[in-house]
Amino acid sequence: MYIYNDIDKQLLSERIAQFQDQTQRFLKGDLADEAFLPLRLQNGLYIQRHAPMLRVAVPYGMLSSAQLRKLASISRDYDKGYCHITTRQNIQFNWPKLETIPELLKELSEVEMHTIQTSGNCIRNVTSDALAGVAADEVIDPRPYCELVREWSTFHPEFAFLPRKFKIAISGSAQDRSSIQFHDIGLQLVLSDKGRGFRVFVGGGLGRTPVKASLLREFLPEEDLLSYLSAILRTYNQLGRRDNKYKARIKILVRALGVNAFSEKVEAQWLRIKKHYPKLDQQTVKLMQQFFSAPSYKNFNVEDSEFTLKNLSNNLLEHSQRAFKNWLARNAGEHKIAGYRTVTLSLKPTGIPAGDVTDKQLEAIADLADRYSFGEVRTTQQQNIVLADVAINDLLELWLSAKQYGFTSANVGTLTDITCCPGGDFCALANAKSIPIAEAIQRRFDDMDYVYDLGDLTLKISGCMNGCAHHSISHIGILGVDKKGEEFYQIMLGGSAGDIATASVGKVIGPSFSAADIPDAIDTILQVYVAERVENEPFIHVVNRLGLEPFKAALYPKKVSSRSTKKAAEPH
Amino acid sequence: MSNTIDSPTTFLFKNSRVCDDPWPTVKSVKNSRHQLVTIEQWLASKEYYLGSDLTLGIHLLGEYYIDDIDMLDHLGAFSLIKIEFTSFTDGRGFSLATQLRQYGFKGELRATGSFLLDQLNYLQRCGFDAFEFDAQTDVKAIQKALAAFSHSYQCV
Repeated sequence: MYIYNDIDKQLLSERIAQFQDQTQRFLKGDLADEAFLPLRLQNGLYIQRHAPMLRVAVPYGMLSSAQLRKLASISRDYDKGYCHITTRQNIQFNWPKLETIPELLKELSEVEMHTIQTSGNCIRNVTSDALAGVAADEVIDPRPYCELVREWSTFHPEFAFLPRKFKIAISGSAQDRSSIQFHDIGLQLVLSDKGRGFRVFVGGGLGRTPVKASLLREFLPEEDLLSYLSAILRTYNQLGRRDNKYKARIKILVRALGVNAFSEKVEAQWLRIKKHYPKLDQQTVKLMQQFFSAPSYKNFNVEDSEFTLKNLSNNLLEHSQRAFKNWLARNAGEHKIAGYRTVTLSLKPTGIPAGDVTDKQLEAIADLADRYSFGEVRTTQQQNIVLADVAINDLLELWLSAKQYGFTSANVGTLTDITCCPGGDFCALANAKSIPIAEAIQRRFDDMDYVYDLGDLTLKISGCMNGCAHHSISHIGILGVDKKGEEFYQIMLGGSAGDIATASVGKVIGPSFSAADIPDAIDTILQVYVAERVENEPFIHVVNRLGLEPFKAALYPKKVSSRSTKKAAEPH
Repeated sequence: MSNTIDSPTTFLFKNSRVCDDPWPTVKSVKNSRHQLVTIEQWLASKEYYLGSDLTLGIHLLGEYYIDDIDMLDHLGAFSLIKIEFTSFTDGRGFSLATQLRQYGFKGELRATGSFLLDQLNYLQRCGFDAFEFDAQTDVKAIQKALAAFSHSYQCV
């Protein structure tokens, strides 16, 4: 994990002093509202429905146990005893008091954390793969590059007042667990005969205009990363629209110019300026890689580990054995090192807002990380926590401990592992609540055998079209809309992100539903899937194969009269 | 147009201190050899200006995309490039300044118009070495804002 040097520490303390001064000038009336606005946003401070919201950066999702313990004490001392994990791997406090924020920031800085550039029209926190460094399908560990980009983008003097926010994600695996094609810039690390480099995607995004990114460059040599990013950002900064904030993201510029014309401008700018930027030489990359070197794994024999894994739960009672095996199947994953597994601690037990985690739970996660995973965890885009390096020998013990804190809901990657924004309960932007919808769905589908039978399925709920829950790249996406002051919910099907080639934006299935009708509508959709699937065909395949029609026919039976071959699934 | 352009109630801050400003504005005429031109004037009478023995400056808006403007081959002809910010949230002037320095402009790069004290450190790092402020601006606050950060992560 990256450790701050003296310069990092110095800069952070200077930033805290600067923001404290700005806050004081604002409170004294020396700094106007509209001047303070972008300054506080670039320090992660929103004014929300009930209280300020403060967003803490978790660089590419990595947290140490010491940081977790600090977040726990801050939750207790400055908030209501809990915080929230966002879909961009960050942490949010929902109830801090404005006047305590300078003190809160100082406490965060003690564990090398901050809120810098977690909001505002600047380059945001870089996101990455929650399984970086351990995934079996990884080609190159993205974290050293994430850190290099974090440093490059932090306090970047040229790119702090962009037309709109700017998000960069970096992935180093065959499977894309970072949704890189739905970022302003997505970087896929690749190894070619020219060495390490990046496939560069640009102009992806979610929100009210979900767009899959365009390929800007098939291969960018590693050494040119920062100069090329500068050329993209400069082109966007100068040519992106500023007259309408809904058309200000880079995706709109790329679409308006066409990716070829956009690329010509970037390449021309790049050729002209690249000599002014230092190249990422081998030495720099190597130094950075050392921060992310493998922990001291034990040597396990593959056969022994497999044997252990099969017999771990032999001494448990039958129903516990079953629960443990379900948990292993859903919440533990392959690891590149023999004898190890990745483990996802589910933050999605029924009835708890997705991603919410209490002070006690944060401390428990820290303890689990210290005991079983080299003192580190990762936050995920799905608002869960990953222990990346758990020895197979420890899995049962870990499960028993984690159970006490409610982390063992064996639903990772299933229907009830719902990603959900804070919605109308908290967020000032929301059109509708999202948390109660998630809970209603979880309660309706409480038969885990049925949920397991449905297999891999993503369901995401956003309370407005800003789409913080990434509903438009979800197999089933739910979007809260406002209809003459009433909350309604639109359903989309067929979104997906994990595969670079087939990633797609979901399509709206039809007229929206009331909150009360959503569980029935989901049930209807699932019944169509179960009826139509061939053997173990995943949900997303069925949607892609059949299109929306059979689902529409079942959901809106009266409106589609021509289809009589299949009996529509009746709502309950 | 910002009111700072024609207003006599501004001062120039350069080289860490308040300075006399030898330059006229684009609209005023000072009895000096310094002449500040607009981009339109420059494009219309480029040959004249290049042939004259005036000390030339040019006034640009932050939003200009200079790759499309025919002045880059003549950066050496200007002693001053003044960049006017029409809104402090419009960051285009930051890129314009950085670009001018990267393209080899060595003269005075001056910020005018709507920018915040809180942006001074970044403006300076983008290549600005002179700033026009409203008369009531506190010089100590300027110095403090310029020195907000002791290091930077970017070489450029």
